[in-house]
Amino acid sequence: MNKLTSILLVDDDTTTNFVNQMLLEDLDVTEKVLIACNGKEALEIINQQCQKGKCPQLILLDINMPVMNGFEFLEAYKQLDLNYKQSVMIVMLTTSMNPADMDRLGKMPVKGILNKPLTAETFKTLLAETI
Amino acid sequence: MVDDNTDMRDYVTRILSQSPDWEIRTAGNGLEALEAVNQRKPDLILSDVMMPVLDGFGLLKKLKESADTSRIPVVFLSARAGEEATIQGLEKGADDYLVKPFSARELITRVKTQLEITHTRQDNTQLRKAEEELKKFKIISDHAFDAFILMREDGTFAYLNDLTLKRWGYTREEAQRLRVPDVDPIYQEEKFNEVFALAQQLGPIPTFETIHKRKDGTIFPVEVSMGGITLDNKPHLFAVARDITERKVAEETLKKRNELLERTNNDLDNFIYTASHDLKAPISNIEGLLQALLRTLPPESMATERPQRITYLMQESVERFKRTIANLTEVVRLQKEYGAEASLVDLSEVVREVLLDLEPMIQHAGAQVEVNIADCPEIRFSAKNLRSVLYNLLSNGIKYRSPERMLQMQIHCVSTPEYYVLTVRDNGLGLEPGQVDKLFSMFKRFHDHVEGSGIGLYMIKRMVENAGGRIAVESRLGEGATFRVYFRR
Repeated sequence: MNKLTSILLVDDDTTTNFVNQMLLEDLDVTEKVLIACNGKEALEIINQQCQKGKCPQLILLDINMPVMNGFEFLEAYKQLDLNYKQSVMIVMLTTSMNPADMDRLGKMPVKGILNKPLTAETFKTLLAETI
Repeated sequence: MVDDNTDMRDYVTRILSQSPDWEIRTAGNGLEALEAVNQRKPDLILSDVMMPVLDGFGLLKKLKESADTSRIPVVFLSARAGEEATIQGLEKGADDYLVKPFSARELITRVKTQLEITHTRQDNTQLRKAEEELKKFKIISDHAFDAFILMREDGTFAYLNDLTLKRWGYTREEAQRLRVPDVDPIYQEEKFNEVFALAQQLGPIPTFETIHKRKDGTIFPVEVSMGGITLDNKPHLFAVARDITERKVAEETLKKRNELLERTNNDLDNFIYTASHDLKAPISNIEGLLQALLRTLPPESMATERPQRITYLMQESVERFKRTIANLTEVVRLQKEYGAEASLVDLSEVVREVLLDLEPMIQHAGAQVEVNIADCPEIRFSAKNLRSVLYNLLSNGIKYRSPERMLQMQIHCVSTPEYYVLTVRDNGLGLEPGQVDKLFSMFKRFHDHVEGSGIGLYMIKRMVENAGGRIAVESRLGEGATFRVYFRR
């Protein structure tokens, strides 16, 4: 399996980000792990990276976050006009299994939904299924 | 008209028939007369004295014997001119007599007089009856437990019973000048006129609750039944007002308690939801950190037993924590799902599926399962929940089997008019009498030798009760347990 160029983690819980970053690094599945603490930061990073032609290939997105939450991020992301957008894959990583939230996600540009915590097994399964 | 002489009968009939108001019936002797009277009571009897079979006196005696006929006036038509006959007749209770021969005018005058006397007597009887009724009504009214209020169209009162005055705090004299606005604090003239008119059309109008004002200005709640009635050709409004102060206080208390309970329940739901949600993140992190630590530490540091045991127990604690959160989440879900989607579920299908799921456990325990559910083809319940109920009961049976004997379990179902009763019986460890009551409470566990969260039975009880059913258990320590689940049909 080819290594991904970069993965963007979007979560307000810095410990979660740290744990996931370590896991991804240890799994050796990506060149680079990018981290954003909310949707707004994530949009900034995506803009920056895509302008350099280095769009993150995978975004792991939390739902509940301050400033801009996962849903708001997805709405804003839909409006983005980027060259390499097709190559970006968004996967939700959340603890919320609220049916209303699940319904809402059905209408969003989301490739998959993962339950926290992220483990080596679930991540490998995700890659096998989607890439 | 009673006489054995046909000519006499015809003569009297002819005379009296001149008045269109009178109907004349005839009889040939006293006995025939009695038969005629029994058929239909006349207003007056004219009778001859000397007759065959039963004479005039005999007839009179018979009439006086019965309360029903004793008041019919009797006038003798006597051929015997002479004092004795007259006196004899009157003594025996005749009302008058005419001596033959008599003129048409004389006959008509006597008959008229007798009928008038009778009518006056009847009027008096009716008056006395009315007085008695009035007395009865006054007693009822004076001792009534509700206020009787009779209103005129102009808002004055035509009648108020004692209790009304007592409740409102007015004397009878003061009440003379009282009007509806004085006692109805939310009185509006337009509205009163509207209701007054409506009640004249409808008669009784629907019962309603309102407030009344006492003389001292304080108010109290009442429930009023009201309707339009006509009295002396004038429209009136009759109301019965019940003081509902106590009921209102009780209702208010109940309402407040209900609100409090609802709030507490909501708080609890939210608390469990938030707690389970907010606890998930840190426990996930701890798990992830532990994994990362294990990957980071040099392999030789884990070579000894102690760090292995520590990390194993850490991982196990994390697992337990996660299970508890999952259970709490499940409880909240059930709470929210009150009255879940029920459909007709094929019981045999569910039993088959659950037994298949449990097959490894059954094999391992070497258990025998007997199924007899032909009596209950379909149960109205949520399919998912029915599976949970069966799974919990059967897996409990397997977990708590007795090491002393082979586990035997029976799944039976019988139908009663109201319920399908599903029975799951085992010959396992059983329960002590004191444990049975606590069996269905949350996080209750009686055995610690097996895995369990103590939430399964609580959950299935909730599922069954949410659908209008119930669950019961019967058990003896060391002999086994029988669970009966009543599904409403």
